[in-house]
Amino acid sequence: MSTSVVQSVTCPICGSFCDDLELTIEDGRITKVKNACAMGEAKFLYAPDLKHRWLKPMIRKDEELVEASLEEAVKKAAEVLAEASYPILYGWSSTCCEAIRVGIELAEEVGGVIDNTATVCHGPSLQAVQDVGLPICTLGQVRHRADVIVYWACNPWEAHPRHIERYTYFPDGRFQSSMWRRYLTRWGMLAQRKRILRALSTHPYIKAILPPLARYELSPELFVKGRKLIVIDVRRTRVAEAADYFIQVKPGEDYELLQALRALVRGIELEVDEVAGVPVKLLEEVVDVMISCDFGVIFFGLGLTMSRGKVRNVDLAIKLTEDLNDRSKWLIAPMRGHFNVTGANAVFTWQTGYPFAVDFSRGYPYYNPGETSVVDILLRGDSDAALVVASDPVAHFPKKAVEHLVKNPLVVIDPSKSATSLMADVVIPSAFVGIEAEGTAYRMDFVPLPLKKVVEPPAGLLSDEEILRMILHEVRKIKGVA
Amino acid sequence: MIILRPKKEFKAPIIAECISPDVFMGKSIDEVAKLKVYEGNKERTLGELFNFSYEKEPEDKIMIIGDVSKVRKIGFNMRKGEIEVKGDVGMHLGAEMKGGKITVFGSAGSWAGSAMSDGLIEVHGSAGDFLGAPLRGSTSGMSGGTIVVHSNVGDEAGAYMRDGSIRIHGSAGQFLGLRMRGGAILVLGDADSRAGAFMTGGRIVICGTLRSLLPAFTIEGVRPSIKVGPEKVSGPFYLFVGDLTEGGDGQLFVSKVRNPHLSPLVTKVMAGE
Repeated sequence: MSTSVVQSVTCPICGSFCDDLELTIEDGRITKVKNACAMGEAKFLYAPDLKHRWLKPMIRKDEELVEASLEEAVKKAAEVLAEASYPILYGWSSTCCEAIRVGIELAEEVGGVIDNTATVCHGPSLQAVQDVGLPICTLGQVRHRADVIVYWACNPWEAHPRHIERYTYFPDGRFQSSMWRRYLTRWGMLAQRKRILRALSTHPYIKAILPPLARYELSPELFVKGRKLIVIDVRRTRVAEAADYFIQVKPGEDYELLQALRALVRGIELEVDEVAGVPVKLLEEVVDVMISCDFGVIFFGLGLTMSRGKVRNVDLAIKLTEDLNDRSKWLIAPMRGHFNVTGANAVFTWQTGYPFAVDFSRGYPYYNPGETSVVDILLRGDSDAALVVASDPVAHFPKKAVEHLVKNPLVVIDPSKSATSLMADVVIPSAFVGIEAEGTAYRMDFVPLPLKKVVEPPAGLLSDEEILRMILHEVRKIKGVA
Repeated sequence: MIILRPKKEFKAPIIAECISPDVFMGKSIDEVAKLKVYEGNKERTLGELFNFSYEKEPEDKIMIIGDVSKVRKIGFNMRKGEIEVKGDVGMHLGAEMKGGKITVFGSAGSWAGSAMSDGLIEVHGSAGDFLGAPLRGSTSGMSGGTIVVHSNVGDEAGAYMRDGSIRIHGSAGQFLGLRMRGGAILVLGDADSRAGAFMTGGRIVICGTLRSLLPAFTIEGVRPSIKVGPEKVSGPFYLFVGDLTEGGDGQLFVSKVRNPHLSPLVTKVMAGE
């Protein structure tokens, strides 16, 4: 039995894209994962399992998916795409940059619309950045320098489990120390207080005069030194529990809250007592903390980009950061979801000039989200064929969009049996990038890192890039340009 | 007058910048039928997609009869003449229009009158989002002309507007008059929240209910009536000024009678003064 240990493996799960994993490989199988979060560990241990995968290309014949040869499947896929008059090419965020580059070449060749998952995630952020710019930094900077961290409308505890631990509140940076101890003390104190209050409340008289136990807040003045964590969210998440300040905003009213904060930062007195369900007094206190820090950073999530206001929420958040920079050093960064969604945006931008939703139907790149974004195209019923790479829109798009997607010819390149691949007309299985194939991906702060190949893929499975190259070659043959 | 009728129900989007009196003028039907348009990624001629008929008078008019909701950029960059559409029309209707008149007896898609500088667009149905607003990344909005919509409009109507006027008979979506610098928007129906966000000039008049007022607006007083272009609209109206976070002095007039939820705030501030 051969056992080997691979170090510094990057994790192909979320936008944090951790690069310190240690994998133990026994007989060509990953048996142990060190340093990863539960999601990362699960992907390395269970995703390559043959039970959930397509092992042969499939083509739909008489309403049934039947096995086919790779050449046959590639040819069929190329025919579907080459004949379509408005094909869409969607996905990309969970594959490597090299595959995305070929994808864009393919989109140009077939005159289709190429879009990545940012369209249903941080697309509005990208649009806002075009309007007002983006003061961003790498996560290393945040780790070493940030003394106020704002998590706005995101829950890294569950979506980016190692983000807080590696980059923001819990790590020991060069100029900032870890807040683990404070977090644990806080928990201890809260538990203690809860116990005392509960014991006291057994007495009927004391119970009657005690305030309700609903609020377990501890005054932030107890913890004067060190990093501060501010969480703004519609619900009290695990991050909110760890925060020094938690602002619970009414759902869909982030815009009003942002504007109120911005007004306060600019020294404008507000005429209202409460904005978005938050007392202005609390906002003033938080703004004081924000303008008196040395280095602050705002991380924002889908609660801003996909709630009422969308692009304008992010637009205003960036404006707020701009204003904060008059008083102190402030930066803002989106919490990207997939491990390479930033890479998809980066490759799209350096190839076409636009980060997502690029329409090649007239031969040149044209971009106008709302017009050329995939969900809108599907809802209007414009497209007549689709290629989905490393994504599962059937499970995530609106029902009407999915209905149109599966009504037309659908080609899927995916390692696993997803809802989309089960509805497809052509399925070409691929190797897992980052586990069975190598490549490059971008972390959420635009830092490119390599994806490693740690085990061999099952026999006959190629990487996304190789499959796309074959389809591109076939399309060029059909169009007579090869 | 050239009358166009779609030959079939379109599926893929059609980009027809050529449907404009400036382009059609002085061309015979055969020449018009040879004009190039895109249907998805396929290049077609206008004659492949539309049937034509011809009437002598008026000379500079185009009439489209039928559903052209997939046809985009009708009347793009148009300078003179008239377009009349009997049916729904697609995106970018009259985009960058510099003169002339477009009438739609149906609904219009998003970006109708996008960044127009002169002329008149009248939509008898509803209009989509970004009415009169420029394309992504651009900050030059509508700089003149008039848009009249007889039903509802979507979000961000009149964004980046510099001059001209928009009249909406129905209700308006969010971010009405976003980043507006001049011109006037009149809404006879209701408006969703965030009207006047980032505005630095111009005036917005809302005769119906405003869902909520942004915190960066301050009350200036109550006006009995207000003039929008040549027309006088009687109120009374609350006059708010903003967006203060942008240092703006845009005027937001909101009907007093239809917005009782704003009266506690107004009373409080006025009493404070």
